[in-house]
Amino acid sequence: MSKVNNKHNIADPVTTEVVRGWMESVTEEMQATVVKTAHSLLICEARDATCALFDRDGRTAAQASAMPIHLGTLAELGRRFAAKYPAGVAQPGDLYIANDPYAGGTHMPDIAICAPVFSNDELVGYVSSMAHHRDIGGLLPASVSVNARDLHAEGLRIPIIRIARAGQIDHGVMQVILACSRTPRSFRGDLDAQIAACNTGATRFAELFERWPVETIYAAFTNLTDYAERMTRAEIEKIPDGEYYFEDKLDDNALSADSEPIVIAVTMTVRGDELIFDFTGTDKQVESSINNVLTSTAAVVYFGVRTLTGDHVPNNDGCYRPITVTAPAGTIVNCSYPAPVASRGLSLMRIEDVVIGVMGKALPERMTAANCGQYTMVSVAGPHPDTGEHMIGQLGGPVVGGHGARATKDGIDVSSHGCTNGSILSMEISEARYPMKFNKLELWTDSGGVGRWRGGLGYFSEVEWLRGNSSITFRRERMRFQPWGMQGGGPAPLCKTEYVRQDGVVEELPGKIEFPLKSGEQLRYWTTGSGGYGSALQRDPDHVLNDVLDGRVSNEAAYDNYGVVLDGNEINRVATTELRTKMETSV
Amino acid sequence: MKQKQPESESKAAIDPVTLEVLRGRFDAVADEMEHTLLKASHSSIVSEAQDATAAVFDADGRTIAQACAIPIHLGALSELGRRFYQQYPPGKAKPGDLYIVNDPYAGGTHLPDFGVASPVFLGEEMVGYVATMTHHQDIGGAAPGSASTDVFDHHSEGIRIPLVRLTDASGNINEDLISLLTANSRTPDNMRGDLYAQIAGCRTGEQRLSAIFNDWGINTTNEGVSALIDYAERLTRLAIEQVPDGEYTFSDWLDNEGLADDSDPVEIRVKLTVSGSEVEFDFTGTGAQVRAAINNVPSSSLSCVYYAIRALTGDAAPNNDGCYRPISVILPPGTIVNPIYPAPVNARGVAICRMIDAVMGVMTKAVPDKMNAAGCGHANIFLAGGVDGDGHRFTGALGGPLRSGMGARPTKDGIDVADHELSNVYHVPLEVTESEFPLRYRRMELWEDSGGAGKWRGGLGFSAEVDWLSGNAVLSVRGERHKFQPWGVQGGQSSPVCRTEIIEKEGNTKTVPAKIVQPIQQGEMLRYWSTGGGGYGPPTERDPELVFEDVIDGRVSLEAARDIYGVIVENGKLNLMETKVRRTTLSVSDV
Repeated sequence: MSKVNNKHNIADPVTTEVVRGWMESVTEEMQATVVKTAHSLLICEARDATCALFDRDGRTAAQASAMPIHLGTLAELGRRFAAKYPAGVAQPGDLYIANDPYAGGTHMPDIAICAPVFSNDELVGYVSSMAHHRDIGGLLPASVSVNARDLHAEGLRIPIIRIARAGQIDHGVMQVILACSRTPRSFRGDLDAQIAACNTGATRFAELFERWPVETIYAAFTNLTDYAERMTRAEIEKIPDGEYYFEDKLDDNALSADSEPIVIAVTMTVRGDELIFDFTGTDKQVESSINNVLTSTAAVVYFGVRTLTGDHVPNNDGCYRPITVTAPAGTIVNCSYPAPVASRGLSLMRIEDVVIGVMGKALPERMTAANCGQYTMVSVAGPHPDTGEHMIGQLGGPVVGGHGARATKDGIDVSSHGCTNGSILSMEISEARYPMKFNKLELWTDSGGVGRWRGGLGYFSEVEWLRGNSSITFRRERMRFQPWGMQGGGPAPLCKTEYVRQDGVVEELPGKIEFPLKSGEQLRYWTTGSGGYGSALQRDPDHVLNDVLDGRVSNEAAYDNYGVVLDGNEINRVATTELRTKMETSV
Repeated sequence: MKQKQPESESKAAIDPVTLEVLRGRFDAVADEMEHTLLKASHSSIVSEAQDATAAVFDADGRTIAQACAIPIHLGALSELGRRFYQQYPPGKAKPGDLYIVNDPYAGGTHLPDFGVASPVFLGEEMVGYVATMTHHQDIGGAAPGSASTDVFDHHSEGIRIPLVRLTDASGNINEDLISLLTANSRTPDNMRGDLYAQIAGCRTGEQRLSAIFNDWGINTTNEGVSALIDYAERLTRLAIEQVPDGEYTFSDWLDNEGLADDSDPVEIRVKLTVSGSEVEFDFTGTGAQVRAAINNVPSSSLSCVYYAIRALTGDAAPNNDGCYRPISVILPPGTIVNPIYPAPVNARGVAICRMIDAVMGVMTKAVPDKMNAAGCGHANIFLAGGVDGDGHRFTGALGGPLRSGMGARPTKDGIDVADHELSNVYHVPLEVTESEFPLRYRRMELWEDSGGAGKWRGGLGFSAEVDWLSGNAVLSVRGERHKFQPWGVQGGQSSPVCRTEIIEKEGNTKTVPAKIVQPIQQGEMLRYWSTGGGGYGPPTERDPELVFEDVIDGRVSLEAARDIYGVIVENGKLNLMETKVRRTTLSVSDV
């Protein structure tokens, strides 16, 4: 493609839109490359990966719509890569790598690879790919144990370094990185997928610069980031000025079920078209690895605000400009080195709850009730009884429950949502990989918080271990504090876990536990739904009837909570009105 | 695993004087490297405890010389020499190269020991390798100090470095790799400083070794190398020939599998077969590898055997590959002496002590007049990491003696609280520890009656009390010999078992097991007793005057003198008459 001799150096709206589309397609192509070429399920199936383009100052120019939590993360890493390898230092054929949470990362399994992009020997930007890796060493297989007492116990820490020069991988650095992993082959495959994505991205991004002069494209960047900023500011302006406060709690410190709950508090200050999220009042960082670096907390805030602006706004640096995130150092939302962070996902969900909650105070009609607020990650480890090979991984099936009820609609049942919307791992793949089977996986009746709009339902799952032994790790939340409803909506129930031993004895398990699961034993777990929106007595009785017929709501709940009287499959409208009036007055 | 190399005779006609000069020069290279390493290192584990070694290899990776520092590195460096040669042989190795490795499953010992090596050139021709090995203070992993016994597997133990180049194509140090390594340490500045000391050691060695080849010419020097290796082999064979042919067996036990105090003891079983000038050590029957990080990879296990044989030959034989040729060792895979990846190994020192006991024990069967009773058989390792009252972070090993009493010798008492056998490191002074950690040693003294009684008494152990002054820490304790006593030989008695206590703030005394990860905080006190060595010969044959001196010195109590040695001390005087009577009764009741 030859360079068009364009007279204007400024980008007109059409050019700007074409540049935008081009960049977005570059990130999408990078994302497709990672997902199609990676080896591990976490990336190919669960799509725990993202890709982005940066300008030469490391400002995000475009990002693939992937896991929202990665939005803010790569935004920070882009700046760091550009700061360490600016024009003059960066060379064609370079590749950089990093995962250090205290240098722009979030937790160490998320490794970012970055390549500088050149056009006619001039540095024009960077491309980067980030993916969650299965195992990077550390305390336990999968490298996300809550038990690590410091960052160094969590596995390989990679500062921002060069991993390739002139297109040649640095053999020494690569060998050391791979040697730390319990799954070095798939690790290499996944890193290569990221490298392939960066190569693809760098080529495509460079092609853009053959089309227009650098100045034009940079003018388009400016237009696009300014546009994203304007759109974001416009949405913020709609929020009534003021200070809003919200708090929620984590069950415990993730180590012991009887430890103190942990408060996450946020004050949102709306001033004109600016937003300040201040997490003062949040509890101190904890001994376990559920701490968040500020980058990680900020990413959740960016996600929350991003839900206001919608798809037509490009994912770039402009979205973040009107937002300030502050948190006292040494808290669970801005921990200090070397606090461990590997299982930050646990508290991330609660940070998301408070961000949505505080925004709901200001904009009740735009926000949802609480989501299920937890992951049910069931990790498996141990030798496979048939092959002797080490099994490491997560059980398939959903990891999250219901999505919060909305101002105009019910919540969605069992679906990925919020800032960590990874895809569900297939149950069939788990059954093929591990000597286990799912006896049951079904919606959990009455697990959606009641309301005019009902919370999305959670699920119930029964897993049976068929042969050999495995070590199971559970880390789940919402065993003590329910997902809250909004505007009078009810909360969703608490989660629950049971373990059925070989002798048939049923034991109830705490939220965080590691234990051996043996042949013939079963795990049963109930993962909650989400909060309801508005008064349950205002819910259309026909919707309640539908829910009862679908098994989403029980007859008893229909009567007790919704005040709907059913005669078989019919609504007794007279009795319903009477009951609802009585219930309203008794409240 | 079986290692056997044929006897070979040097055909080189190199004169004895030149040979001896060459030997001296090679030794000097290793020693100078060692000095560079020790003087330039940052962490006290190297600069004070001297947990570091240097070695010189020929172009085929054969060990030519090794600085006499830590015997446990003997087998390790010898193995690494072969690995360097395999991966970076002449032709592939380039001037200026540096290599690094710590992978125990690729020739290393445990992850904290980093081997750094470089090829040596004279002009264009490669003439050998030099290498240094240093124990790094912290290389990440489950707990500060990187030597936790309780880890899931090898990958929980810290950064793992396969044998890779530490330099880039143009011979510059690969700063990206150094940054990656130091980012994984809790003490990155020390790691960087110690790594650069290793590099400096290698660079020094390169110049000196190259100079030797320059002075004598490559051919003559190489002939000298072969002759020296053959010479060491001959001396070793001569020493072995003096050992009566036959089969000898010995077993000793580790208290437990390293984690649960009530888990089964682990047996280390050795069968020694001596035939002519060759020996075979067969560990068949040794306990299976364990979940705790106390397994030993072959290069670590081989070091125990090499050390024992080196003890026979003494200083006369040069430290080179020839010493090992007459030795074969069988290490069954899947045992604690040859575990299968990814068994954890970082706290291997725990089991090494017992392996040495077993190897020395089997040799006492063959040559009792040359071997000692058991040494204390454990190392006093207390690792602490935490924050002091002012918010400063600290991490590392507490100082004080690493080992305790040495076993009694066939002609002398054992030495009290002295490093001996494999580790042979210096004590980190208590004062250094007090400046690095918020603690104070209230007391550290010889432990009365802790030397096994005998005609020659075992060296005494010690007891210590440590106050924790501020902040709090996690303490990893890695003790042993809390259940099985160090044995005596030829009628000598065993020494007592060790003990560890924590005195809580309220004054409650809590006895803690030999191995534990335990929080400790301001106002608490750690108290421990570390045993001595076993005795040699019957205690009733000990010269009463010596027993009397021991009583006066507080090494032996009045009661032990009377009940065990049959020596009566009254009013500060030795009563020889009563002693005679007492000894007769003791001998009678003995029979």
